[in-house]
Amino acid sequence: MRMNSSIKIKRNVRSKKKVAVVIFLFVVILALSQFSNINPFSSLLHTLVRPVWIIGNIFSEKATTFFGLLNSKRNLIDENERLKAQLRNREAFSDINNVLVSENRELQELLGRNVTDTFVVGRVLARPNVTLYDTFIIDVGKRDSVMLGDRVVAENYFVIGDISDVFNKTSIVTMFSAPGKRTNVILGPTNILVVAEGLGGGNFTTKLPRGVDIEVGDNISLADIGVNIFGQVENIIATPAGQFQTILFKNPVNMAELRFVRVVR
Amino acid sequence: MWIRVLIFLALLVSILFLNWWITTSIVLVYLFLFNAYEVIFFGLVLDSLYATSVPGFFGIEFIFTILFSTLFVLTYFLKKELIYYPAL
Repeated sequence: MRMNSSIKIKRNVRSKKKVAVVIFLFVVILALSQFSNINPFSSLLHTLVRPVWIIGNIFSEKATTFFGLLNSKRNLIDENERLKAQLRNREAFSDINNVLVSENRELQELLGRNVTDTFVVGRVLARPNVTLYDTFIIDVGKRDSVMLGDRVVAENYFVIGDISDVFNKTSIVTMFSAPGKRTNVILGPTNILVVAEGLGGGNFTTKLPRGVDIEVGDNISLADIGVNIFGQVENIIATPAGQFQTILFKNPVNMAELRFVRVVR
Repeated sequence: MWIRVLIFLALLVSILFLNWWITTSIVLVYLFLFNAYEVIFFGLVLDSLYATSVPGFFGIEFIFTILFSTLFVLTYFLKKELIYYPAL
């Protein structure tokens, strides 16, 4: 009897020690987070995990193709019609877009600005939904002359983020929509300069005085030279008593389907 | 034993490819089934791979480490009160 209770006491003491060690580690890590640049594991982990991400992406693409084969004919026909209609709309927009881009470049040349962008193409290894940080990983790094602060562009004109950490063969891209991140942007046809605040998941918000004329669908671009599309207005919230209107907008790029990006230097 | 290994592997796959809330759900299941200290290590791995200084989290780059450590401590004390865990 006595031995049983002493074994129990020893077991209790041991488990309390373990919990104390965990709490101590927790406090140390919290203190370390104040010096957030200290993380020797990052580089090593990125080197180890990069091949796993590449293999995972290959399997994911094969699985998507395989499950596509199981789709019913009716679904495929409907999706085909829907995509054809979208393509017809986009073709008209694309022609106007090409004219505007060409005109923009000519104007930049007239002003004596450097219009040639050097860039490197990177493949998306891990998407933003994996964590709360609104970051994603690409397969280019120091070896490809990628540097901190380089801008990341999707589908030629949509600016989605910048390089926040660079390793030898990979980089972390922080999206402009990361929670609390603020970016200067130009809003609407009257080119109003505002600060967009990230809400996460490609969503942004900003506030404007009530009298300012803004409509759903207005474009937002980065406050910079060049064609840098930032997003499109999705919703405007204005209460009758309030002095401000809240503008909600989002980046039109579908991050779940994005495979390649350009890192612009 | 095998269940622990399977959940360990599922967690490993989850932190590389799946959504963060799926990872957190697996961590919760793991913690309720076992005294899984290794979830803190998984939090560190998640933060080391993806973390960056984000204003919305006050610049803290160890969000998942803190979250998983907190879950570990909370489930440890919660399990002591539950009838399902007589040996604790």
